[in-house]
Amino acid sequence: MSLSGGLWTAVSALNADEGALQVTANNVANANTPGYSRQLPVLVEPPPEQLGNLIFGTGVTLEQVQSVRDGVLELRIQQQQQQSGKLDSFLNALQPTQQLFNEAQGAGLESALGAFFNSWQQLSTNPTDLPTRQQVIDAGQTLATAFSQTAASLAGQQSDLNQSVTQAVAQVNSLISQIAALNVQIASLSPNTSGDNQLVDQRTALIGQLSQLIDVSNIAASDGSVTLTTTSGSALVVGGQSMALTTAMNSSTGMQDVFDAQGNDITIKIAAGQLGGLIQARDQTIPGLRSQLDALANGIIAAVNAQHAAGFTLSGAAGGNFFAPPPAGGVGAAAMAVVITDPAQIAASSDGTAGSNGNAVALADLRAQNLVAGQPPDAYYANMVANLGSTIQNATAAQQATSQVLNQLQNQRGAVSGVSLDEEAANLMKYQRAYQAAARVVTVIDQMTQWAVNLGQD
Amino acid sequence: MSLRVNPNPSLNLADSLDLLNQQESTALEQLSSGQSVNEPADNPAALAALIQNHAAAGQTDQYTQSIASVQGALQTADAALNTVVTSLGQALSLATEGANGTLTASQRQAIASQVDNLQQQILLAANQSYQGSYIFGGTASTAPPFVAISTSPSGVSYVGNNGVNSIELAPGETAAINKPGDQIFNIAGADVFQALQDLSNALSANNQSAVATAATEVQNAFNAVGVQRTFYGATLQRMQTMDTFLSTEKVELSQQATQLVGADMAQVATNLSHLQVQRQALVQAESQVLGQPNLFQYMPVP
Repeated sequence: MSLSGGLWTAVSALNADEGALQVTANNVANANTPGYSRQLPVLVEPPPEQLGNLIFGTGVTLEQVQSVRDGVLELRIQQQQQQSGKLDSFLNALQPTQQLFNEAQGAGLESALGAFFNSWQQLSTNPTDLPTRQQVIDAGQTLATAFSQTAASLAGQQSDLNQSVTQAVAQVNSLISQIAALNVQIASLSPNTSGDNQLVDQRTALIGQLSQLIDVSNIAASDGSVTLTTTSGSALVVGGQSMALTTAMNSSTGMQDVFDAQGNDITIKIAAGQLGGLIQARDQTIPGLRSQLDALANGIIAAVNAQHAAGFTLSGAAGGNFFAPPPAGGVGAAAMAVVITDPAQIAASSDGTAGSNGNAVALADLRAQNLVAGQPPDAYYANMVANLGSTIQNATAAQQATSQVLNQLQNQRGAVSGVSLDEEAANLMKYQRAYQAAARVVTVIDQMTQWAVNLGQD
Repeated sequence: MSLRVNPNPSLNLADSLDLLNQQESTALEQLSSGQSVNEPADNPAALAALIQNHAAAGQTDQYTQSIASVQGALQTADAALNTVVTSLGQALSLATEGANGTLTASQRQAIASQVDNLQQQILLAANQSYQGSYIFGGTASTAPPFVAISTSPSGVSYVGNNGVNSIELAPGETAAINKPGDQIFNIAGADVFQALQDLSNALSANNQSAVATAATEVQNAFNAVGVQRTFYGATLQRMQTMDTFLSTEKVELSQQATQLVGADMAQVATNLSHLQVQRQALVQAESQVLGQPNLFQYMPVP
C-alpha cells in the first residue's frame, strides 16, 4: 500500500474515462451513419493486489469497445431485403408491360380487334362498294400493326431486362469481392480486438446491398469471417475468396443465363433479390404474354384466312388468304400482315355473285366463335390482360407487406443498435464527472506526496 | 432499465409520408380520370369485364351503323315500288277506258302508246339502283336486272338471280335486306310486264274483249306488287325497332362501364381530404420529433 499505488489507480481511471469519452464521441459522430451499430465501452476491474491479508482494487481498464448488434435480426433484415428487392424489380419491370395493355386508358388491342370485325359487318351492308372494301383492308392492317407493335414492345422490354440482369450480376460480383476483402481484414485482427467493429458494420451493410440483388445465405465462421452462398447452395464468398458469377447467352432463348463459379447454370434457381425479380419477369411473365399474344394472332389469322378462302372476290374468283399465313414456329403476332392490296380481291361473296354478302357476314361472325383456346378472341384477350393485372396486383400486395415487415425490422434494429443522443449526452456527463473526480484524486495524492516529502522540515 | 425504443424514428415518418403521397396521387388520378380502375392491376376482373363491355359497345355501334346503311336502300326500293303501284293504277284506268265500246281504233292506239310509256317507267323503277347496286337484281346487283328484249313475250327479261342478302341486326339476329326482282315483277299469273304487254297489244289490235282480259291481268299484277311491297315496309319497321333497342342497349352498356370502373367521386374527394389532414398531422409530428430538444442542450457549458 502506497501513495503511488493510489496515484496509478487514479491514472487508470483517467485513461479509461478518456477511452470511454472517445467511444461516446464516436457514437455521436455516427448518429446518422447508415448501418452503424452503437458502441459500448466495456470497463472492467483489473486483478486486485493482495498485501498481507488485505485486498486492494487496482483501478479500472477499458477492456473492449463492443458494438451492440443482434445477429439474428440482421439476418432477418437481409432475408426481407431479398424479398423486397425481388418484388421491387419485378414490379418495375412489369410497369411498362402493363401500360401496353392498359385498356382502362384506351391503350391495347381491343379497339383494333373490334374495328376489324366491325369493318366486315359494314361491308355486309354494301358488299360491292369499293371504299367499304378498302376500309376492311385498312382495319386489317391496323389490327396487324397493333399486334406486331405490341409483340415488338414486349420483345424490347425483355431485352432491356436482359441487360439489367447482366448489370445486376456485375454489381453482385463487385459486392462479393469487397466482402471477401473485408473478411480477410476481419480475420487478420485477433478475435477480441475492438477495431473489427467498423469493419463488421461495413460488411453488414454490403451484405445488405447484396441481399437486395440476390438470395444469400450467411454462415459465420469462427475467425469472424462469413461464408455467403445463394440459397440454392452456390458459393459466393468463402473466407477471403470471392466466387464471381458469370453470364452467357442461351442460344435458344437469346437471353443471358447466370452461372456460378463452378459453371452451374443457376438462372432458374435465383429465387430472390433484384436478379430473381428480373429473371422472373424476363423468363416467365413476358414470354408468357408473348406466347398468348401469338396464340391470339394465330387463331385470328387461321380462322379469317379459312373463311376468306371459302368466299369469292368481286370478280367471282375464289378468295385466298387475307392475312399472311404465320411462318412455321408460330410467331404469329410479330409477323402479322395483310396480303390483300386490291379491294376487289376481298371475298365478301358466298355464292360467286358480286352482290352477295354471305362471306362478309360469316367473317364478321368469327368474332363470336371460339377461335383461340376455346374462347372468342375478345374473351381470350380480356383474360390475358386480367391475368397480367392479377400478377401485378398480387406482387404489389406482397411488396407492401414485405416493406412493412422490413420497416418493422429496421425499427427493431434501430431500437437495438441505433445511437440515442440523450443516452450519449448522459454518458458524456458521466465520464466527464468521473474524469474530473479522478483528476481530483491525482491532485490530492500530489498534495499528500508533497506533505510526505516535506515531513520533518521547519 | 426500460425497453429501448428506436431513437431515430424519422425514417419511419418519412416512409409514412411516402405512403401518403402514393395514396394521394392515386386519389388525384381517380379524380382527374373519373375512374377507379386506371391500370390492369387496379382491378383485373373489372378490367376484363370492361374489355368485353367495350367490345359489345363497339358492336352495338356497328349494328346501328349497319341499319343506317341499309335503310337508304330499303327506302329507295320502297319508293320505287310505290311508283310501280301508281303506274299500274294508271294502267288500270287506261284499261278500263280502252274497254269502252265507243272508242275508235285510233283512240285505242293512242291509249296503247300511253301504256307503253307506263311500261317504260315501270322498267326504270325495276332497274332502280342505290349507290351503284341494283336493288331488284338479287345478288347479281352489278348490272340492270330487267332488260328489254323484243323476242321475249313480255318484252322484258329478268337477268338477275334469286340471291338474298341478310345482315346481322344483333348477335344471332339476322334480317333479309332484299327481294329478288322476279319475285316482285314476274309472278306467274301476275307478271307486271306481261300484263302491260298484253294490254298494249290488245289495244293496238283494237280487240275489246282482249283489252278486258288484259285489264284483269293488270289488276292481278297491281295486287301482287302491293303485297310484295309490304316486305320493304315491314323490314324498315323492324330496323326502326332494332335501332331503338340498340340505343337503349348502348346506354345500358355505358352505365355498366361506369359501374365497373367509375370512381365514386364523393367518396374519393372525402378520402383525399382525409389524406390531407393526415399528412398535416404527420408533417407536424415529424417537425416535432426532429425539433425535440435532447440532453445536450442542457449540458453545462464550462
